[in-house]
Amino acid sequence: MASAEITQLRRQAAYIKKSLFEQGYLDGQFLQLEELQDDTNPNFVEEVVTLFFKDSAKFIANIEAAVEKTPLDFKKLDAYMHKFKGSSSSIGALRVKNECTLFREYCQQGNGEGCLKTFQQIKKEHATLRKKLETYFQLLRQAGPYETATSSH
Amino acid sequence: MTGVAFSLGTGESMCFWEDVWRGDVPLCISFLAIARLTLDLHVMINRCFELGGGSMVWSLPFRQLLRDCEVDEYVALLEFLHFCWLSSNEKDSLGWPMEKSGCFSGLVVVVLPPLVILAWCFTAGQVERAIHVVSVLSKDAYTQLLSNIRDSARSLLPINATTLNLARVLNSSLNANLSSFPTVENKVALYLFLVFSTVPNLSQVSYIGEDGMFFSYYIEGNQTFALFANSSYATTNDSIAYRWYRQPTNEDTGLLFGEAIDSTPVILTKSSWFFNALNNENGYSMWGLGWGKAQEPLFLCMAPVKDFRGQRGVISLGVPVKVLTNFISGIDLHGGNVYLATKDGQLLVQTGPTTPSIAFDNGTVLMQAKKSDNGIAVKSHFNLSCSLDASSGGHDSSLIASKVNFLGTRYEFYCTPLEIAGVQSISILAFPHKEFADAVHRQSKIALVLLVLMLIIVLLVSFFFIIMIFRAAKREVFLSSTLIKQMEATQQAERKSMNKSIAFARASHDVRTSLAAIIGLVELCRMEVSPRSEMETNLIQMNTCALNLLGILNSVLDTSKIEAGKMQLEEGEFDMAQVLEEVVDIFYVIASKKGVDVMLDPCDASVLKASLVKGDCGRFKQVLCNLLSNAVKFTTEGHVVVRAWAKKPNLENSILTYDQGGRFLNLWQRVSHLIYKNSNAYNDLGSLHQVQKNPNSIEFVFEVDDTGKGIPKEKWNSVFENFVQVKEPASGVHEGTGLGLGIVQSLVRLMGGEIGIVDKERGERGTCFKFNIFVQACEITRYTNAEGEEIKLLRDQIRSESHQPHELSISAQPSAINIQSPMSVRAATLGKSLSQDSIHAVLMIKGDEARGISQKWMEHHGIKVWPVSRLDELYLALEKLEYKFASASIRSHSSNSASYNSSGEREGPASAGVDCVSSPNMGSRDPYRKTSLRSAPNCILIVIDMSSGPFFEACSILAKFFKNTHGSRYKVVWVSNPNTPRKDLSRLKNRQAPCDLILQKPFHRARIHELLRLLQESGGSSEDHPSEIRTEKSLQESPRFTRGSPSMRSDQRGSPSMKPDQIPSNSITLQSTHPTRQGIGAEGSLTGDKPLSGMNILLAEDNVTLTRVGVAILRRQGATVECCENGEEALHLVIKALHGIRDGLSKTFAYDIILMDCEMPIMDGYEATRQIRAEERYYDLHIPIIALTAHVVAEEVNKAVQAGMDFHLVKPLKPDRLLEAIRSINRN
Repeated sequence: MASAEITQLRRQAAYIKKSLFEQGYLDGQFLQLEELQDDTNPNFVEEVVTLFFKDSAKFIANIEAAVEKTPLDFKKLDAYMHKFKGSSSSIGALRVKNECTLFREYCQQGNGEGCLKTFQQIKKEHATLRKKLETYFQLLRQAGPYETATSSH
Repeated sequence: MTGVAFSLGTGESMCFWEDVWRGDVPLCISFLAIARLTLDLHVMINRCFELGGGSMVWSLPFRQLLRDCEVDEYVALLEFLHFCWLSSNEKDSLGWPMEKSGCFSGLVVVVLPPLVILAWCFTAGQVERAIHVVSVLSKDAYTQLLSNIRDSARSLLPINATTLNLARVLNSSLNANLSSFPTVENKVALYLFLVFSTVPNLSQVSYIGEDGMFFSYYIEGNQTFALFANSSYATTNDSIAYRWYRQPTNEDTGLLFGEAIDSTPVILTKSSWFFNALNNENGYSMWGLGWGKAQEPLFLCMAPVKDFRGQRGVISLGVPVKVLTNFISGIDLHGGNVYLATKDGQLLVQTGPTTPSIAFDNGTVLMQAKKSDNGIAVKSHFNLSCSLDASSGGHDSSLIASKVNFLGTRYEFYCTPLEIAGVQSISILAFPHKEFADAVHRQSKIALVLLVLMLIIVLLVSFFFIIMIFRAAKREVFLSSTLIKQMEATQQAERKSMNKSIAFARASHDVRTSLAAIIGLVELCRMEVSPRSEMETNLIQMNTCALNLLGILNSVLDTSKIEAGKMQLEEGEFDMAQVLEEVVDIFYVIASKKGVDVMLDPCDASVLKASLVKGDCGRFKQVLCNLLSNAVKFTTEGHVVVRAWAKKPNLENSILTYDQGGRFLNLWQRVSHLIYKNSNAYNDLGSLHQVQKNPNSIEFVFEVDDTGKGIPKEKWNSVFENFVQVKEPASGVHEGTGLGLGIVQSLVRLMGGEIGIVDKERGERGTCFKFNIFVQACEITRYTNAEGEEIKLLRDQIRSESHQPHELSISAQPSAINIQSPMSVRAATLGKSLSQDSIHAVLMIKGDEARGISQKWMEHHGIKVWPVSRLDELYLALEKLEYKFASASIRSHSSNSASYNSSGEREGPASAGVDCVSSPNMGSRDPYRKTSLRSAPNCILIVIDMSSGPFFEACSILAKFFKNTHGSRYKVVWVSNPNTPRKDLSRLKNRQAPCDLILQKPFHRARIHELLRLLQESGGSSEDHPSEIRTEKSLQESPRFTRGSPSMRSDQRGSPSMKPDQIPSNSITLQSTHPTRQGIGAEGSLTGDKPLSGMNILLAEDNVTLTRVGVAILRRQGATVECCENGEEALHLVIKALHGIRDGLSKTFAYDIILMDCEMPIMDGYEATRQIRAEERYYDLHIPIIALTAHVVAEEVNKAVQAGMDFHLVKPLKPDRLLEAIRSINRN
């Protein structure tokens, strides 16, 4: 691959990342993850993110099932969401995390309607983030390992 | 009148109209006000109509009116009303349940008076009629009275007949010659006496002869007398010879007896009445006087007699008027008076008090009377018509009442003719005009007037009240409408405010996120740019700005949090003294750039004694930092002193006695008023009290005293208000939000204390903030054993003056750690115990205040201080000291210490610069006595402030001094500050000047410990390189200097020569000689690439993502990580590892640290921890467990602590936090 192209790709990736931060999809935790990535763990971030999405799909399914029950078991929902929030905060998925917080607040208030609404929002955010991150990692993969690029720099 | 009427769902009707009484309050407002309060419009109102001028048209003005109310809800109502109108076009069949009460009452008020007057008129007429009846009745009574009188008069009437009969008898039977006296005496007198004694009431009987013959009987008193003339005119012919005689008479026989008394004769025959009587055959009546001396008035009846010779005479019978008078007086006159008078005006009978003269003339009576009233003669007279028509006499019709004012009294006169014994007379009845009828008339008039008046008053009053009521009603309606408007406005405002705060919270969250991103990005950029380039400086500045921004944001958030009452303290253990030192260190650096000194005054060192406390460290730091930053900001020269002391609160009163000015007297009320605006106030207050009442709580008092420009006294109170800044027009620049002190105040109050500005003494500049907080004391027994041991060790070391290799002690206690470690706490007690050994210090620090405080610090740690204020006095002071100690060492065993005392006293005042006598003011302990009793001091410190004068000068003084003396005893300590020229420092480092230690300002506990450590290493160490002691801050500020670092590194990693007592405590408890762990323990603060290398960490986390991240982080730090998915697994692994120790398979426990997620399936972290704690007890181990939770709340933290976890970390895992946690665990 031509280095210009790589640079271009990298720039695109950086742009996506920047916009993700700007739009509040991600927070500092994601940077921390990236810091952890090194030669021994070249695809660490992607791995973690993939893990997260795999994991979260399970959570979402769980919550979906719980949400459809009537009456709503807020305690259970809260517990699920707590976990989900934990994992989303661990990758720095800020927006999802915020929605999770909101969801939990609704749970504590016993506001079923709010829960459902927020849950839809969570799913939406989750899907959006997934799409964006997939694009981002796609670009990164195309651009090749970043570390080598910096070291050559 | 326009209005609107509704028929309601309940079947009632309701209408509202616009009218004058409601004033300018629009209809719709009052309507809607009522409607909103009472009805659900859409349910209740079935129909509505407009009531306007009889037309049922939905008129524009009404709609306009509604629209004018400008509230959206009304539009809905309007539409609804419209709809109602359109859907029901039928005729109005509504009842009007609401009477216009006002109109009604008005009507009542108007109609009532005429009604009352009519009623009164009716009643008055009736009374009139009644009075008429009464008056008629009274007239009857008068008539009765008159007839009574008349009857009584008639009873006297027979006397006439008697007279005539007597005359006839005499005429017929009398043959005698009447002209001869004996005849008369014997015959006539006999008849006369007969009549006189038989006829009742007669008082006088007479015979009067024409010729003068006369005989009469009369009664005078009880005696009957005869009066006679025994001769006639003819016989005597001489008037003198004609005599009358009076002789008493026997009442029974009529015979005369006794002596005849001569009496003056009265020529009767010539009087007119005699002739009348003589010529009147039918008798003649008249009024006359009796013969007696009393001349009693009599009714006289006369009749002529004639004898055969033609001699004529008259007989006369007299009845006294008194008889009639007696008779009349026996009649009930009903309070009136009776006057009887003859026709010719002679008053006969009179019962009244006055004696009127009555004249009668042709039917008219003239009545005259005089009355003497208090000497004033009142004369009155009047005419009274009185018909003397005999035919009509005695009939009612003639009875005419005349009302006359007579002698000042109103009388009613009745006049009637009367014939008494043949005498024509009139009788007049006079009744005092009784007030009866008149009074009724008059009273009724008055009553009418009063009634009218009363009605008028009632009318006025009722009008007044009606006006009042209307006004009040108007006002009330107006007020309620205003209230409703206000309530709406308030609600709206509240809603807005709530929305605002929500938006605010969201926005601030976003801002924070962005800021965090900026800071992160700046960090990223910084890594990329070449160091020391301009770009890097810019980036650093950007970073600082972003951090500042974050700070401001946080303070704004704090404010809103406090306002919402949501601020809570996060309790945690911390070292108060350490916090103070940290803060002071930070601000010293900032202040020193401005040339301002920041000092920590230990006061009575009570903070050091009770420094380990439980409270919200972060908030406390915030308070202190804020105050300090203000102090530094506003101080351009001089110094800032932080004073702190602790005291045990004596429960309730502590706060009250805190300030004698009484400013905090009503503290609790004020606190509750000012901070707690929400309903939780009392709960919070209760907890506040609890904090104070807790016997374990300690009160810390702090003062931040600066020498800045100060705050004007009138603004002392307002500085604590939010958004208030004391503006100084001259300074021009203002920074900050003005929230700082407000937050500080709220925080201090939250910690149970109070903040205020303290009066400074006159002439002193600057401001002094004073605040107190209440915190829980921590148990410090944990340390006591270890401390005791260490103290012993250290003391032994010093006493034996063991010459240890310097490197070892340094490597054992790396400076950076030690400054912040609890070791310093122990060292504090260590210092205290060292005070028995005499350590002396010559202290030369710039600035009186700074020197004083440094001295205090040193003295508190048992060092005797000889302060020197100027560089040129230094040499003198040193020499004196040297001389003294030299002589002391020579004569150390001399028992005579008095001479030294005296010499000390003598020399003290003599030396200008050295304040020898008073300086080591350790109570009664006298340094000279001490030195004389003991051996010379081990060590004399020379502490010199590098900024106190030219450096080379100080060096030369020292050099001069050391040239002359044996210098091994002396330690030279240089005190530097960030402004110290680098070349001076480098000269020290290069051994171009005597130097044992370089201390950073400000002076406080950590520095003292450095000094003590220096003493510990005393002896041969003087040849060594100076050790450099710095805080982390100072490391950043000054160029990095590490003495012999490569060798140190190698030593630290597994040096076998390490002394066992200097191994960090956790290593001891773990019974481990694991080489790497010592490195970690000793070197935890060093930020190498892999600070955790060699560590075995067990990570219990159920979430795969988190596990992955955690593992990566830990591995990156160099640790070996083992994972498990839940608490049970973790427990199994731990038990397995423990068994490994027991079975001797391994010497050490497999895991150095366990990171435990709290919420896991199967077994959660808390339970797992509890079980691990239970398990490890058998092995006498304490496995550090760090809790990982996603909760930030304090209770969760408590829960973790209760479960036995050592530390609490908030997910997501952050490497620096983790390292900090591990460090702190290792420290403990």
